[in-house]
Amino acid sequence: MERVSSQDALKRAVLDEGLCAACGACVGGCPYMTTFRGKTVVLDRCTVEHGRCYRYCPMTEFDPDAVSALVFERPHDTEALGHLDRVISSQAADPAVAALGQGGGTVTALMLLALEEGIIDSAVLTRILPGEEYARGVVATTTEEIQAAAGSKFVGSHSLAAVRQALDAGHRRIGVVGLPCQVRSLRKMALYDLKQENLKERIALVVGLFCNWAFSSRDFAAFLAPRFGPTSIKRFQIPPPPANVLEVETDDGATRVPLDELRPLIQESCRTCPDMTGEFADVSVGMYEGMPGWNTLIVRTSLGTRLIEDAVRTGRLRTDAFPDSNLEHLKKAALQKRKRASQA
Amino acid sequence: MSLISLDAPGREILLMGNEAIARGALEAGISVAAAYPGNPSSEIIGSLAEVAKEMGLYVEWSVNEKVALEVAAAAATSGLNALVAMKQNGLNVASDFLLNLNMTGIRGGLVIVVCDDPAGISSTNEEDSRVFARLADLPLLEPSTFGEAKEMVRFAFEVSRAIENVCIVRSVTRISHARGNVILGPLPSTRLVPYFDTTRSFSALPPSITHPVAHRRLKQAADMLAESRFNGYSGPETPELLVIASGAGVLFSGEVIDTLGLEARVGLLKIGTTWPLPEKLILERLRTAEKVLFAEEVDPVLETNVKALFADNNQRLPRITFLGKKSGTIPDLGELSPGLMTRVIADLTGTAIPDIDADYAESARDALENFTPFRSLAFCPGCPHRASFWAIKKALALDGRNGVLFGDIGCYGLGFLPTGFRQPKTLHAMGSGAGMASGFGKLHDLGATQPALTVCGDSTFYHAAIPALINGLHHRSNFLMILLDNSATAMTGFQPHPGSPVDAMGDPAPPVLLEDLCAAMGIKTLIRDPFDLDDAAMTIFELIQETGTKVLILRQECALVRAKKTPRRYRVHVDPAKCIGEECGCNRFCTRVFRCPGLNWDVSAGKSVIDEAICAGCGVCADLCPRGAIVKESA
Repeated sequence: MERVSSQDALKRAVLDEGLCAACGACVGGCPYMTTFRGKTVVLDRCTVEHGRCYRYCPMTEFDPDAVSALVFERPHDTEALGHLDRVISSQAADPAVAALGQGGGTVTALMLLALEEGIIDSAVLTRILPGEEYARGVVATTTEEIQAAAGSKFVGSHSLAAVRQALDAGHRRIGVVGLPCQVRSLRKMALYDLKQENLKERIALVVGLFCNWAFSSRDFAAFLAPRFGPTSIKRFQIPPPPANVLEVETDDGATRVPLDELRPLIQESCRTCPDMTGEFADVSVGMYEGMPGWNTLIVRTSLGTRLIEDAVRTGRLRTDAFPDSNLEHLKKAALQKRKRASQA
Repeated sequence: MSLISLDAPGREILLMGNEAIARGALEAGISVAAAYPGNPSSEIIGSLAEVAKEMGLYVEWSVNEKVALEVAAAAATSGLNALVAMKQNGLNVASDFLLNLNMTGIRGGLVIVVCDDPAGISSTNEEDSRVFARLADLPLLEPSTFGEAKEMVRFAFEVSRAIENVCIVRSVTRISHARGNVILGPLPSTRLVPYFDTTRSFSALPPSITHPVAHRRLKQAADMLAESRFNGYSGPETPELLVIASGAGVLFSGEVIDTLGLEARVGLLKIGTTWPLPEKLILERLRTAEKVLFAEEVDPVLETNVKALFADNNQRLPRITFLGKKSGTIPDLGELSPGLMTRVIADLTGTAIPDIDADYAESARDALENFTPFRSLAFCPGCPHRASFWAIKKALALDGRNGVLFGDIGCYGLGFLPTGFRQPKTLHAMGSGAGMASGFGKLHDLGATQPALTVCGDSTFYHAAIPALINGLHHRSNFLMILLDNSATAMTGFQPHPGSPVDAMGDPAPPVLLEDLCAAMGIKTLIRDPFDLDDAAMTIFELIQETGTKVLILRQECALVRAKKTPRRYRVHVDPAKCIGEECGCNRFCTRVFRCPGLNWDVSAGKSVIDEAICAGCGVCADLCPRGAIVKESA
């Protein structure tokens, strides 16, 4: 009988079950698997038994206590938002940066600062490259490259494949902006570090993005193509409830698509994901509902605290309090996602 | 320079069996020879083509075996002697014409040499073509030595001219492809002039008239064969065991009787004229037989016919125990061998098999291990088929609908093995991949969701795939035909085909181009280079997203042909510092998955290495290495 390889196990547990989150962790540097138009595709069978593909996948076994011990030096905090230092609101002080971002440009401002201060030497971000239809991971090492990746993509993008690219390029302090599933994968990389690549140090900064769900990028592209043409889309926005629409901003203005039409395009994996806020990130950033131009910012680790303090001190970031009523609302939303996942 | 045209009667020379057959045809004074190449028959026409000019022959590589037989029949209805050669599968292709030609007969001489391939050494099947002789009411001869092969072909022409019908000679791989001494006979000094006598007609219709003629001709052949020196008996008058053998079975049985010292106990009845049987001779031997063993290759043809003869004459014959394929004494498939015949005859006669000298056995084993390392069946280094199947594999994986690739006959038939990444899922006859794809592409109307694809070589395309393509096109079938155009009939030895700029005799010939044919049919036809893996894969992917019948020509010259004409494109080596070997992220991707024989795995170093002696320098592996460790430099 043939032994079960990591790839076999991944196929069985995740890919064949339709549970791939399209995070990209398995495909980076692997000749046996690739991404194609938003899907993870197995090209050939790999026989490696202790491979990274299965171990680093966010959809396989996840030990929250072990990851918490690694990141926060304490057991997993089962509160709605995970372990945190504080929750505040923020926006990029530079209006040009704020305008690039989805909410208040906080993520872009933080990554720019981290690069400038040498906290990171490269940033793995998600971007739709000119002329391309699908978002992908890029390794950014300049201000321009970081700014070009601003804005939410609303899809699974396989962007963690670029982490392998950054590692192969020899980057020693990599900052990554990712969805909660990707944050989990990044922490599994650091925890298991199967090839002793010093990933705990080299994945130097993890910025989590709030996420309720993401679209399958292939299905989303297929949905958009006949309606908007290939390249005219500038930005997506989901206005706060009760709008229940996706705003598609094109050269010809904004069009509203009812979210109910889009729900079938949501990745199956999102329905089983319990994490709305990226509970294991250094900092997590999301929209501030009802406050256009601002973000909700959860500071979780000492590195996160230091980064925010530096950002405020150097005038990169403006912060404000996050009212208790909003916090309760945020927690409620996070618990709702957790509940949905437990019932999935 | 070829030895087969040597004008030296009485001289004994070493010839390959197929060359001996060709020599026999020359001695019989043939004017025309035609064939479609197919192992183990290819050298017959190949060697005649070499001497065509010198001997004043017309020799051609026909588009397929049926056409080859028709070309030869034109000569033979015009009074000439014509030879057609083919492998066993070829006779199936030619059979539609053959089973009408037999009814009309001919006016000259026409001999079909069919080379069977017991054990399917270079074939998809091991069918026994002798059954065609009975089906077609035509005489069939079976040589058992190289010299006899030559003589039999000459005799076959005598029979053919005498009965004015086709005569068949059945060879097998071990006779066609081995070499032995042959004594040359005289070559004819005069040539026949072709003339189609228009006072005669050759129409199979109506069978009520032509069938009895065919029977009469066969009876006439039977009388000639009965007296033939190709049949004979050696052994005691009343043998304990009578071996009735044909073909290679004669050689092996004779050798065993000799080795075991059974000359006084076991008799050998050699049958060279397998159909119709030399009945008188056989009945004579059966009269004194108790136990009969049949030694023939593949099907129990001789066995069944002799048993039928026995049944017809049983009142005048003793009780006989018949042993052979039916009794399970001899396997009903594959080749015979001296070892097999030794075991069978020793067992039946209660004879001890002499021990093999232990030293000899050991040195034989050593030689085998040292000089014949294990090799799996694989495409040559630098073979474009490997790249083509890689591109197909990738396109099907990206597509994700479990596309079905229908295979076909040629070197690329090996694609169902790991060397072709097990991509083709069917393998039958020439052109059948296209026909099946045409059929599967219509099942989409019935709910099938898998894309249909077929691969077809250039030579196979001309041979039998064009009708299937037309069928698919006309019926709006959804399939992609990938023409693996390596510009050669590679598997059988690089014979020219209708796409070649040259014919069998080396004269310039107008190439009939694949793309021109497809364009004339109005089929969407693209041409790509399989060595550009990603481009080829994406093109296949895009084409299988479309409906309708499409053709993609993956064009790259056969590596063996190329190597004879042009230097290597790239010098390729592995940078050991970059090669990560068995690590995650590689897991010996190049040697374990891509599997080009030019890539070796150095076990002690844990790295891949290029075998520079056999690397063809295609550079494809360099594009595949996930670590960029395989380096190609323009040579």
